[in-house]
Amino acid sequence: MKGHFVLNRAHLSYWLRQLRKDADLIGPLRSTDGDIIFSSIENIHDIELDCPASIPSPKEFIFPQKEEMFRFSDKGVSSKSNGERRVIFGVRSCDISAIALLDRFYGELYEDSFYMDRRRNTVFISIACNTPDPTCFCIGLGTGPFLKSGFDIQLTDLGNRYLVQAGSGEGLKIIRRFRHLFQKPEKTDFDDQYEAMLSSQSGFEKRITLETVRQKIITAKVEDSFWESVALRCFQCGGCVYECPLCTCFNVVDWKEDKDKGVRMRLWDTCMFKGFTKMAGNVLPAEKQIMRTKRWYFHKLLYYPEQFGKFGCVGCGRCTITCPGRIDMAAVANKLD
Amino acid sequence: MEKISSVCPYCGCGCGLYVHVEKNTITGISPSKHHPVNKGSLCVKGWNCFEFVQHPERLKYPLIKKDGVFQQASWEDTLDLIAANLTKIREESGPDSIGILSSAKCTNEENFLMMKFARAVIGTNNVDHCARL
Amino acid sequence: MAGLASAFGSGAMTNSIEEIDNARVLFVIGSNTTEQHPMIAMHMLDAVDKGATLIVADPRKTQVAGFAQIHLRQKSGTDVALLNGIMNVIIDEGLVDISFVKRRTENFDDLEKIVRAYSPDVAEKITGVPADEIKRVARIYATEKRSMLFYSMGITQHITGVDNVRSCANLVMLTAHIGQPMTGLNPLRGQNNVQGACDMGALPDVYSGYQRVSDPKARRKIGNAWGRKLPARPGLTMIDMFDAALSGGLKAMYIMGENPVISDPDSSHLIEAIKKLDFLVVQDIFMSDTAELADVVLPAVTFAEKDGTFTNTERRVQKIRRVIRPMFGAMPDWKIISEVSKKMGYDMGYRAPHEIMEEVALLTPSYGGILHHRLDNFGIQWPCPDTSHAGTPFLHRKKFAKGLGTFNPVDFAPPAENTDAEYPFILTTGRMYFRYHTGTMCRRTSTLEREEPECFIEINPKDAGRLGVRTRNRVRVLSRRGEIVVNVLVTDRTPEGIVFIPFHFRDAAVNLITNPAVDPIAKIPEFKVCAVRIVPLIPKPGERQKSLYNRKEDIKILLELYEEPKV
Repeated sequence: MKGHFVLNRAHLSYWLRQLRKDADLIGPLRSTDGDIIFSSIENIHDIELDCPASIPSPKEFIFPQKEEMFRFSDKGVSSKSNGERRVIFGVRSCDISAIALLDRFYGELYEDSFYMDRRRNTVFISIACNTPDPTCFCIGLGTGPFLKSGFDIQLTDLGNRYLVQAGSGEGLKIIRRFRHLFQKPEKTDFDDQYEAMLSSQSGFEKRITLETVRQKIITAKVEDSFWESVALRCFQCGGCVYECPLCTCFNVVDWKEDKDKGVRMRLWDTCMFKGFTKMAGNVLPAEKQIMRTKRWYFHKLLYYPEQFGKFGCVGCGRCTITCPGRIDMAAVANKLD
Repeated sequence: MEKISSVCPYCGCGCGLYVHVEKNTITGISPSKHHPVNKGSLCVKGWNCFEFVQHPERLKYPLIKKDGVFQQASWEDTLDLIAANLTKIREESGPDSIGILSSAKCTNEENFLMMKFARAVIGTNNVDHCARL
Repeated sequence: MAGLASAFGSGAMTNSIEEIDNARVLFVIGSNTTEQHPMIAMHMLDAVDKGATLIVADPRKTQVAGFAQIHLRQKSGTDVALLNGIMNVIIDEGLVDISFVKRRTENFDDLEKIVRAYSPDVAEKITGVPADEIKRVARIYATEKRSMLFYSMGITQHITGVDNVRSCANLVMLTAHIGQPMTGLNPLRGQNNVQGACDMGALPDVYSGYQRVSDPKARRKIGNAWGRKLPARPGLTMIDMFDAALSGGLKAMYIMGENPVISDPDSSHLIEAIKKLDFLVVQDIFMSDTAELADVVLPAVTFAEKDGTFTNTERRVQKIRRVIRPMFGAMPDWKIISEVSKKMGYDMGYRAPHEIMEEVALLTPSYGGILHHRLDNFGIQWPCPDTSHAGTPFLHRKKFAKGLGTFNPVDFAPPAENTDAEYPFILTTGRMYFRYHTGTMCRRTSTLEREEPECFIEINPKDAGRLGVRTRNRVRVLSRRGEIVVNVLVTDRTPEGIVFIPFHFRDAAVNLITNPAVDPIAKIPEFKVCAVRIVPLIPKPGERQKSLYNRKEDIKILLELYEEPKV
């Protein structure tokens, strides 16, 4: 089949080492404290190949928490390119699905140059999830665990070898450059991938269909008292938004560095805070927590489908892990379903 | 891009977090998933505890007040001035005429040194911090 | 901490945060946990979801109180009476753990004598909490084995702060809720390294590990290690230092990383004291209000620019790591202290913070096994006597640090300042979620700054109606010491007769009016109770309401824009 290859497991590290020569190679590592974190790879053998969901999501590499937009002075404005070449290895399917949607958000109607600069210089190599976490629910959303399209390169772990799929021109390019490492796939390779997919699908603990929730909201079967009970447990940490691979809000901040110069930056922001929509005259249109909580879920469950034909949730389960009040997407969907 | 394990500088919970750094610039914060206190969560202060670090209003160099106005000074001159003044006051009015305030924001090592400085170098037990507030 | 030390022999959270998840009863006194220790509140909420009973005692209706099955709204400053009332029920109904009291404690008879006088009805009269509620809480807390008690500055920042803590300790010992997992008496500390600063002996009467300066053996041991003869007389506390400065006894101060001008009570008095000093050194990361008054200001670094350790509220010593090079020309605090000390003829000779920790371990029994290379996996909880010890998740297992636990019975004493016709409201101060302490750090964080840029006063709707004020109106708040101008926030979070102002704002520094009366033992100021009068301000015709935010002018100028209502 076109765009399909097989890579011997023993050759993976060699391939990654070659890729690292002209790009910053980023992948999942186990920190000294036992957490999985994505960072630049020093030693290829440190990569965690079977990694659970990372915190935060890989959106941080194309939409960082804090980024310099430009510097200004009495002489004018200067900006530096953020387009360092990066290969990000070991990303999960849900996050790839999220990035595909982010690309539309930041590139379809209006092109966000800060985002696109980074995006154009980043290649994602994802690994189809053989073992979902207890918090995962991508299976009900079609955003995982195995993807058919939308990725640059997708690997499927078949034990002693990987089935490698190229999903974009950029992906195909970096496979072709090292053609000697890859073989043609046999029928057994596809059979094994199918097996792996079935076993992965049976490993999900959570079965959540957001569509029923959406229908309930549309038909006004969800009362405000429900959202009130959700909002009561909100600690206002902003974690759900910061962690969400699909949340895109930012705030713009100017720092005066001296009399005649400064820097403009953007920072992640969240609609969970009342100051997010503050208007002139100190008016707060969403002063009550319930308004903000409701809006976040409505955005993900109603407005996203209207705009993009897809839910604003990929089932990665990060809000489940991070919410101190335990009022994440999965919990809300469960209660409404 | 590196992520370095650290601890939140705000309240006494002591949440574990990672500081993201790229080319000597802090680009973000993320919670530690396995930390026994925060288990993958952070509060709003923790999530935003990086912004002040590289703020341009940070004190950049030692300042000495001359005629009521602060003036930039070198570390060497400033340290000399402090040592000379503290030594003089200690000799003229005794070690107990000097008071030291340490800080609940500083590390254990620094608090230990500050109390050692008070007790061994100055020779007074007048050392405290704002635990009571 | 003095209250805890006199009961158990050591002052710290006795148990661990992780244990909260599986506790059955959580009794929270004077702590706005969801806002001030959100990650601890997260564990509490998990426990509640698993069926635990949450009891909150706080005059204000805080978010954590919203999760509680029982919310006791005692009058400000009546905590001792409330706790004595609870203990009265426990003794009266035979819920005391007699074998524990016999084996592990002393002085029970004295406690019994005093507590006898606080029947639920008497306690109700003092605290305003219904007698039935007191009985209910006593029964739930005493009969469940896994009961944890938490407190914070809501009970310590009173002139009876030590008494309040002692009462908590009495309650815990009476019911044997200590020395076991998922029990204990757990102070929630405000700042990231308050526990560490205390452990390291940044206190006038103890060295690191609470070794007393008055103890000749400790003094000799530490003096020998440092090669100096050490003073034996305990020193001055912070508040005493400023008093001494005012009377001329204290000539110089060296202040590291603190901003007492905003954080301390009665700040006008304090500024006067600082101005009297011959020489003031302030070491900080930003130009603070205190630094403005200094002769020399030294630029120090933040947590991201140095190595070291912090100790959290559950005694967990954890490593912070240098992430970036020190900004601009700043230097780590430990290096500055070493340099000053060298200039004064005492070469400390450290090259890195882990070398300092080695000395701490050598001289401090409870930190004996705490060395940087052992702290990689989320740190170690002291006591940790040697390098083979894994740390201690909960204290006082077989015996108390001081041997037998001591009941220190206390009688109720009213707050230092009472309301009267002239000052009819009780003002209580505290923190808010988006702010931190005096704002040195969070004012430079855009998200936090945006959320609550202006100071406010919380007033109960009934009181607001009587005063004729609404949310966002402006009022003058006057106490016997001074006055400030703030915006009104009408809310039933605060009960009638009580008003609340957060202390974070330099533009409306509430500590201009708070009462500097301190607890006689712990020297903690009474931030939580002072009597005030509230005067609504009405803009003069043609004047606009000016923002309080970043206000530089004097309060008198601001007041000229308003006229007072005719009564």
